Amino acid sequence: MGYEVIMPALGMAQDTGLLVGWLKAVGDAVASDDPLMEVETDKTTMEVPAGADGFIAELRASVGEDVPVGQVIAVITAEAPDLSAAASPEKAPEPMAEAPTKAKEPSTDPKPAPASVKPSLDLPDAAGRILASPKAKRLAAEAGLDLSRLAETGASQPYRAADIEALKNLPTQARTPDMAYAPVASHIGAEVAADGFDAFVERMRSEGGVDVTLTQTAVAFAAAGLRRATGAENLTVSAMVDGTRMTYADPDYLRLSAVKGVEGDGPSDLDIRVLDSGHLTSVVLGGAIQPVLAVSRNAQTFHLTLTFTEGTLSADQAIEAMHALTRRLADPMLALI
Amino acid sequence: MSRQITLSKAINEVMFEEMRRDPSVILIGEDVAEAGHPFKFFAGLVEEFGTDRVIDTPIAEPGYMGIAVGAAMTGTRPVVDLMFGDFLYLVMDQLCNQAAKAHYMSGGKLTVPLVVNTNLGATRRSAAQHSQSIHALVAHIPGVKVVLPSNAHDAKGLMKTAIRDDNPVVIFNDKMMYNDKAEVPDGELLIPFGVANVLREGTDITLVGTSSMVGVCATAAEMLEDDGISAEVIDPRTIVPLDEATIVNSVKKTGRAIVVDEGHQSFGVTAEIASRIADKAFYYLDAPVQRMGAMDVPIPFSPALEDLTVPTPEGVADRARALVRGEI
Repeated sequence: MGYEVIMPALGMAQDTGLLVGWLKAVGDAVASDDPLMEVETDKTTMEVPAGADGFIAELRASVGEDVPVGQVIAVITAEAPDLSAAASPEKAPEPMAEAPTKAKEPSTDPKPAPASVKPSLDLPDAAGRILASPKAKRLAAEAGLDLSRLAETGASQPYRAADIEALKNLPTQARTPDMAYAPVASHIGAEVAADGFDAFVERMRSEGGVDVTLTQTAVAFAAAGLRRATGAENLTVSAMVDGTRMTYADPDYLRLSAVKGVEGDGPSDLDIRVLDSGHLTSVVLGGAIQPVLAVSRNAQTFHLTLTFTEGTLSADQAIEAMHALTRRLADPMLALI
Repeated sequence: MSRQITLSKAINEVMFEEMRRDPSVILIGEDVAEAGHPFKFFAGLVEEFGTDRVIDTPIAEPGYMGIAVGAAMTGTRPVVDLMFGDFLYLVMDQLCNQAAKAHYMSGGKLTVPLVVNTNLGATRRSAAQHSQSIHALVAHIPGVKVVLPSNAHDAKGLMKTAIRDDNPVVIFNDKMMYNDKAEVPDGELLIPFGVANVLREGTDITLVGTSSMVGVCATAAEMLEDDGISAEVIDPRTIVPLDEATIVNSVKKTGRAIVVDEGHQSFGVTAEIASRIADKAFYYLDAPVQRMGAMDVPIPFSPALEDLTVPTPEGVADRARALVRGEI
């Protein structure tokens, strides 16, 4: 048996995909990236690549058919198929007649036999649907993972939360085409009264003779919040200071006045933008490479926006990190005690 | 000071302390005065408080429940003893049509500070009419609070709260638990309604047990520990009101739940709690919520058969293992 192409999940709530057309015919040579078929879902049509190098050995679905996600619809083999033997009698005798770029319609192709399309399912009534616990579905959605890929591992359904770990560890090159899962940035906004911070700065100045900046405070407290949410051992935070990118290693372990950082463009777990101008109140930045925290101030209120993608931080972690950060920022003295 | 006393003794202490504290507290029921009750928890009361406040009645539950409801409406705080929970069927009109609705139907002019002290539980070889656990019937009626103590300590604290509550409250003690001892404080102990007790914290599965099933769940949790399964055990203590948040938050953490109650499984307490879990923790569930109750059969008199009809620690542990392994 060769590589099995399955109907991919292209949308979040998608159960089936409508096969608009095959872009290859049985016997054609294909490369992994070659478009194999057009699939319509959620009112858009996409070209789906073959996913493996080789030759088309079988096309199991007909044009116009609504195919359940996860169902095998084509088989790609390393060797060119023996067409004289492979062509089933009911197949139209024109497998290679059309140009590969034209949607080809093997109109007499029989519907795939249900028993052959879901060999990894142990639930007889699954009918091509992915069965997973609500928790597993939520975890997969939060992490932007495609549950249908678990079928490739042979894991039995229904999938549980523990299976999501296996899914996370699947090598990326085996991923089914999932352009719908391009990272989508999420945002968490928060407002914190600034009087606690102001009182703290004043006290540090009058009693300790130390000037503490908002950047130092934000860097340290955000790192503490992120550490609390993720349990990370080592944390690097970056921030723009006077036009220079500074990086801070484990800043939450230092006295605030000692949070200095070093110049550098290295990777960081969180990028912080402190916008001191007093006019910007809402900023949404990137978040695809690392989470970005924007801190701005409007009179007596700090506005904080954490931008992140599921690949860098889970929603639960982001919320917990922001909770911890805002608690500290609201009353820095208490936080340091 | 706290010491080990039986659940019967805890009830006895509550009655002495509350009747001394509040002269409007009275006790009404069969064999509560001269005999001190077949389960002995009213021994000595009539000697101190006399027959005006400790009132023996004929064997006529609807009659004395009616008397108690009227007395409660007119200034006393009666504790009514129903010797077996099964006798609730006889007093449904007085309790559910009168006591539960009087406050509402009088526009708030009447209160019915009534406590019904009764029981539930099988395996006492008392046959089908003296072994039922029908607390769900009462819990279904708005206007009645339902208390399910699982040990002598809670029995004392919850009964004192019940006597001071201005609403009808039905307390179901497990009749197999009357002689079980627990650490109970001397004197005042008030346990608020609607606050669950987390007996043990765990990460893999939540076991919600009521009354007699709390001990079953706790024992099951110990068995599961040997398999490396960490079970959280929750005793709601009152089902009306129900501490939904504690249960839901626990299941959000563990992702799995078994609800165990000694009432018949169908249309009962397990169904209600399981449904609330499914509503409020749906996206955290990694397996279907399981329910374990008494079989939907009359409780058999045959000891061999009777023991099969109610959940056991082994049964709960087996179900928990299957859940955690993903077999359900």
